[in-house]
Amino acid sequence: MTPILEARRLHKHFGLTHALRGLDAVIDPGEIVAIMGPSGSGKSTLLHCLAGIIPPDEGEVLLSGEDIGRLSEAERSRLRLTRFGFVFQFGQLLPELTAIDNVSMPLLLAGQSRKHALREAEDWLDRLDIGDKADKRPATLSGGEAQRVAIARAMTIHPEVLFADEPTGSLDSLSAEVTMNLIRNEVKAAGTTLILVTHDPRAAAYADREIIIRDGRASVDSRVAA
Amino acid sequence: MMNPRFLRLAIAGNARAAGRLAAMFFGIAMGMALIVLLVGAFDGLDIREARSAWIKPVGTHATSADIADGATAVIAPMTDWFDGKSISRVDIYAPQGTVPRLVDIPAWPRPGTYLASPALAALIDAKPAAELGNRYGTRTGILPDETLKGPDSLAVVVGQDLETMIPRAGLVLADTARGKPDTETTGFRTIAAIGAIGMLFPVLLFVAIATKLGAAARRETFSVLRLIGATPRQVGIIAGLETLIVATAGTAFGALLAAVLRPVGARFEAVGARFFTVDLDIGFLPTLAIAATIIVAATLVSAIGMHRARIGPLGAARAIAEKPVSWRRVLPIVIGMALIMAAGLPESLIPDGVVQVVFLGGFLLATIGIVAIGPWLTALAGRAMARFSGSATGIIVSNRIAEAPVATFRSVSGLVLAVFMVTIFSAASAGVSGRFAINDRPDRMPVDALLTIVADGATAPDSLPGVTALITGTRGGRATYLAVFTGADLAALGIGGDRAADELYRVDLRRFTAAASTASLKITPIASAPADRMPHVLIARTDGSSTAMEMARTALQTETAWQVPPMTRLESNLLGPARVMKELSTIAYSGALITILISGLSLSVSTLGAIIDRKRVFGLLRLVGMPAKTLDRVVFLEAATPLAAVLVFAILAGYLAAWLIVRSLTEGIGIGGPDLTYILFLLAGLIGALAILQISRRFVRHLIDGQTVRFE
Repeated sequence: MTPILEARRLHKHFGLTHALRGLDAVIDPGEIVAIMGPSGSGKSTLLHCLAGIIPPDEGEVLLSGEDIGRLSEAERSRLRLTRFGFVFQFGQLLPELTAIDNVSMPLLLAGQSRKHALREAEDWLDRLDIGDKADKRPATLSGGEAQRVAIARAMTIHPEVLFADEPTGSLDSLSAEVTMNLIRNEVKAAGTTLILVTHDPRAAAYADREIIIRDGRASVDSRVAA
Repeated sequence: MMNPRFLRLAIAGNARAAGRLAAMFFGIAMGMALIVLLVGAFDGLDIREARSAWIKPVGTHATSADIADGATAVIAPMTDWFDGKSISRVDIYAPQGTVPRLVDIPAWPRPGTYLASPALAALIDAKPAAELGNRYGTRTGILPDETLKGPDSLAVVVGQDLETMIPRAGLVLADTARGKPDTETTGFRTIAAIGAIGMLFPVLLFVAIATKLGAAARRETFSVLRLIGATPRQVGIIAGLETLIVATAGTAFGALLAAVLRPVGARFEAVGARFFTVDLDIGFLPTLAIAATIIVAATLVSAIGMHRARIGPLGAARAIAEKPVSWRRVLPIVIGMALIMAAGLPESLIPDGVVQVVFLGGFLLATIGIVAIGPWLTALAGRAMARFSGSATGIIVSNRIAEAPVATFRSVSGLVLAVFMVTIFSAASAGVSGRFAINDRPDRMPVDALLTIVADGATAPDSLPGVTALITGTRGGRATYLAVFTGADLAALGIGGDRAADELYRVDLRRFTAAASTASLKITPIASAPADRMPHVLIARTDGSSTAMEMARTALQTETAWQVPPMTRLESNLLGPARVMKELSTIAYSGALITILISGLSLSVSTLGAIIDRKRVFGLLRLVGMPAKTLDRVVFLEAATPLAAVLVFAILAGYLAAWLIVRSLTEGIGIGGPDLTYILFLLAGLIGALAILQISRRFVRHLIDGQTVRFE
């Protein structure tokens, strides 16, 4: 089986900091992979390289066997728009838009009609149990609600890979558990690969596999003991 | 008490702060320099009018009997012309021992000699004597700068003998004469105040925008300070101190900049003449007062902004929503327009002393009203756009506009204000120009002709240089404006109609020389000529060239005993109140130029601020895959939509205000439609705005990438 994502000998510098030092990783389709490690170990840098947000200084990232480093900026934008989804610590929603407009945004950017985009967004909000918040703006949502809107926004395009960077970092333990359950159920149902960057061992417990990064290298790559 | 080292780190601790502080510093410095120069110009108008008022003296009218014995000094103020330029002229008869003390000129010219301003002296030297120099005699001196309005002033004092002065119109007894500056007239003051408001307002707006630059970036810094234990008061002090320091440094630099730019500023024409550089110098204390006002205002803007932001330890986590804009924002412009309209009511309804206050108050309120109504109109446009928009760009832009109309309108407020001002200035000046546009008509004096009223007993010369036909009219009654011509003379003047060549006709010279009135010329046949048949008026036709006109004018002045100097129909319509109105158009385009320049600066500074403020949002959009071009469109439309929404309103409101202003200041003058200059100004403004937005789009690309969302 061709891996959905493969990192080969990735190197990345930020000034004098050597964030990634020849990192290798292989991620199969439909897997849930938790990337863990101490602060400054290079977790988020790896996520950004895998998602094509920043190019590595050396090495390559293959998406279904294709080197995304060879893609133009516009092509990488298209990749993020059609094949990747993102969830961040604070939801990172557009403050001026309502929840439903936030969720429909990727579909509109992909050129779908507003009617269709709104219907899809509504379905996703209902599915995540926040249909009654559709017309609320981010400032009026709780942290957990905002995170669900972010998940809906990420999933609405049916991404092949969902990147989640500390998705429970700003939530209380109950909300964190609900959020992780939601993410796991949805990605499993959709067959989406989930790459989860986290400090939290409880969040990592939802993964099929853990990659532990230390000093810019993958020090442990193992299946989580169920 | 806070540690000064902590303050230094908190205020200027990182490179990003340095960029923001530099932008604020230059914004405030530019604003300070412009305000100092504008106040200087306003003040300078008064100074130079007072200084040069002597050349338009008023006093007790002198009759022929008063000066018959030759012992009384008299002066005759008038306007002379050369090639479309007016020359302030005073003819003087000053016998020994009766030296007029109108202005401190050590030696008044004797008969046959003259004193000229430097600009006129240069003009006389550059032109053939038959066209200009011969009018005045021999030059014996130069009028000093201390007696003149500006370096371009054309002014002359001509010594005359008694015989020449006796028939002159408008003689004033020299010992009763005093200068009458234009600044004493309500019209002049009102026009100058309109100009000052029109130019100062965009500058103040610019200072406010510069002060608010990068408020979001500061919010983040301050929330972190709160997180590590700073109290709200400490954060308030840091915010205020930062603005205080930048504003103090900015105003000091601005004062310096004003001093450096003063010679450049003096080159701009205001009210028909350039300034002497020294006229724009307002002195140390007024400069200090302006600086203090700016510093206090900027610090207050900053402090109020911080108070409204209510920054807590997690202050950066949530966006602060704007309060919904109320329909009450319509009120200032409506009340302002109503007040301007009220100023035009008959005197029986509104006392004379109150008119100017009501008028200027109305204009000020209407100007504030344009800025106040902008967000309301912007929100309406945003809501309409949200209803009909289906694209990602449209939804982002319309929601942003509808949710934050004040912030989005702020970027274009300077430009909208500039368009409002330019429209007022242009419509008013086009109306005034239209009023005095001179075209040949079959019942008016030809444009190539000069008319002079001559003294009783004067004879008409047989021929004059530059003159193709010299038509003589005789007195047509007691009033000096009535003249009698033969049918042949009227035909020679191009007056249409079937008349016998040797019949006599009485003509009203006022309508014959009118500019705008379309009333037909009344030509009354008369049975017999007055007994004396002495020349009363001479009309010299020329080939219309400047050389011929000025040769003819000079010859008429030197070879006839004239009462009123020769003038064309255009020139005779540019005296008195008409001159004040023409000056309005001069102020108009100076104002327009300044407002357009300032609005360009405002747009660039506020767009920059808006991008810094929304860096995280733009980064997020790029992260979820929004193509760079789509993001460009968002940035462009967020500025262009409020501009388009309010621009049409600003133009219409400008025309309405112009109509009301002209109506209340003048009688019978309307406003004009858009002329080429106006269209060029609008185009320049829009092209400038597009160029600024284009640069901003490049800046967004440079500033925003997918990582922004993580690090902002």
